[in-house]
Amino acid sequence: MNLLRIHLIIALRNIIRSPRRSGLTIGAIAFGLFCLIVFQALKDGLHKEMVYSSLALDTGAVQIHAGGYESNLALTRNIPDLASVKAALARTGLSRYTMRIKAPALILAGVGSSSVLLTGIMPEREQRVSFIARRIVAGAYLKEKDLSSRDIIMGQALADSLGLAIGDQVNLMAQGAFAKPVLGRFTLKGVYRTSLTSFDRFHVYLPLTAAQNFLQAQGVISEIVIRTDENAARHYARTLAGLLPGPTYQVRSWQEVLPDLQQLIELNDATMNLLIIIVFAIVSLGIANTMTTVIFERFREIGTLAAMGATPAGIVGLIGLESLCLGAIAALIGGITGLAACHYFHIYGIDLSHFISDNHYFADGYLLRAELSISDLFGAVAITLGTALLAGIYPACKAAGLEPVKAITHN
Amino acid sequence: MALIEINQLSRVYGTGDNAVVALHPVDLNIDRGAFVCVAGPSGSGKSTLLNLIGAIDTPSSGSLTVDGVEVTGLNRTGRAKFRRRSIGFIFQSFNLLPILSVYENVEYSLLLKGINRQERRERVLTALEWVGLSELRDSFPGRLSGGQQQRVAVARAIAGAPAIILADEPTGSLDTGNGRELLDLFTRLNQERRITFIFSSHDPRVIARAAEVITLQDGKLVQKYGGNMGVPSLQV
Repeated sequence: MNLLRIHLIIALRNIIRSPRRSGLTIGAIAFGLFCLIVFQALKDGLHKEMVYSSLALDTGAVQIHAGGYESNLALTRNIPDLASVKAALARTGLSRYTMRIKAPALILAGVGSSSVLLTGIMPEREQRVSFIARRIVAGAYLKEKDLSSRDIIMGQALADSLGLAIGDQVNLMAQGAFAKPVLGRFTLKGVYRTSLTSFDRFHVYLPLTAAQNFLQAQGVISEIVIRTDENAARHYARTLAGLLPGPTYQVRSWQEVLPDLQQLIELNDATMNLLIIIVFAIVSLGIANTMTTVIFERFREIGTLAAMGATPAGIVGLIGLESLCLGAIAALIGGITGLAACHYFHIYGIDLSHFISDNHYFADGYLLRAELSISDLFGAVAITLGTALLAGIYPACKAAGLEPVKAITHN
Repeated sequence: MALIEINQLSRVYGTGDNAVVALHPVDLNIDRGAFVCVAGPSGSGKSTLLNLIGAIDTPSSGSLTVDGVEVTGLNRTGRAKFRRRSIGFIFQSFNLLPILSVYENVEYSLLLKGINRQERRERVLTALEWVGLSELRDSFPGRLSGGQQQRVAVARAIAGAPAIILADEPTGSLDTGNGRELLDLFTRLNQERRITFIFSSHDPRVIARAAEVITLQDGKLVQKYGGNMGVPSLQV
């Protein structure tokens, strides 16, 4: 048994010695850690859902356009050399992508009309990038084998507002590739519904060739959307930008396409960090208070240790170890309960549908799931232990600063 | 050369008008193997003198040399190491660590000295045998009588083989029988192991057991006799 071991024994027995006080302190620290782990996991889950919904709804992780592309342009800009883009994608190892043509249009049905964003898609490839195909609630999704069919799918909100049913005819009006108005007649083949009504009201999908023909833009591809790990999007965007130089091409990660989403995530992170600081400031005050009380109660014992030859540094070590033990026990309890809660919330999630209105960050559903990473778990535990240690330093220094004779004669 | 050399050692608590002189300047030499009682009524400065010799208090003036070490020149850590190496304390109220067993209480001072496991074990068991508590080694202080606790304190003090054992009113919390047994133990340890004992008391029966007596009154050394201190003398 060395000195550290007996100090550990002293620390643990001292904790057991005052079960109520130790229990309350450990409970407070454990609760702080529990909150930290669960909040962190829910925040990560929220961010993941926000990013997933935004990316899987339409945006993708990386987008390639012709240079000078802007989302509000009426006239479609063609990606100049599709073969080069495909070669660059193959070289980068990105195979999960789709090609689209997009144009603003007006949909006319009976006495109703609505402005929409028309998107010509490759139905099979589109499924690799967005979840619209999985959200068909009436009729059917578009077929890959007939890209020139004059079928159209639209959101349920739009179909309802225009009084349309599957098989009904609609007219589309848009500005064609030669800046002349074009008009076409299409058949409603399917209706989709996301959790975002505003999206459903605005987006209509056609087979790619049919859209190109309608816009008199045969062979034109205005947008390539790539799905990949959202955290690697910036890396891939940079790599592709190196292979597809501007101003001919415009390559952007989702963070550039959706800067408001990125800013919201950063804001959430900052708020969470502030919350962590507040929670752990309270926790550290609790530990410091407990340990200071402990010191006052054990003046005589500390004085005795000093009389026996324990150095001031040794006494700091002993008190610090007791704080650390408090923190470690709390970390174990808070860590296990936090992990269990995260596991539960990961599997069953929290239904936010009663708490929030239509939100494009929850286009795929309103279930918020906890996402806990190992690094976050260990980080939270490390913060707890660090806080416990730091909070113990003041009372430890106070104990070490005692003149042995004053401590021994203290009543 | 004396084991303890004290020159003009004094202790004043507080400053200015609130200053209280607990110990007026004292000159004193104590030899190795001495068996000394610091006598005097309550508030005479007995504890202050013992605390200064044990380096758990710092003097206001003067110098203290123990075993060739100038204690008054040491910093806090240096004093702690000095205590660890040279001093064993026995307190009136025992001051055992309630959360450690008898064995662990005795062992702790040896752990501070960095003594290896086997030697520690031998020393602890020997010390407990000396005080007759081998059977109670796994007990905790709270379950022991006052006399037994004081014997644990003695075992703790002697286990580290210090040059000096300082005992402040060691019989103060004991009944007559236990007090006598404790003094018998002190005498045996002093005679057989040549440990220097300095203990304080105001009890004439305890004072009578000392080979040398230093008498304090109102913080002043008024009398010292026995051993090489010479015949009873009165100093004012």
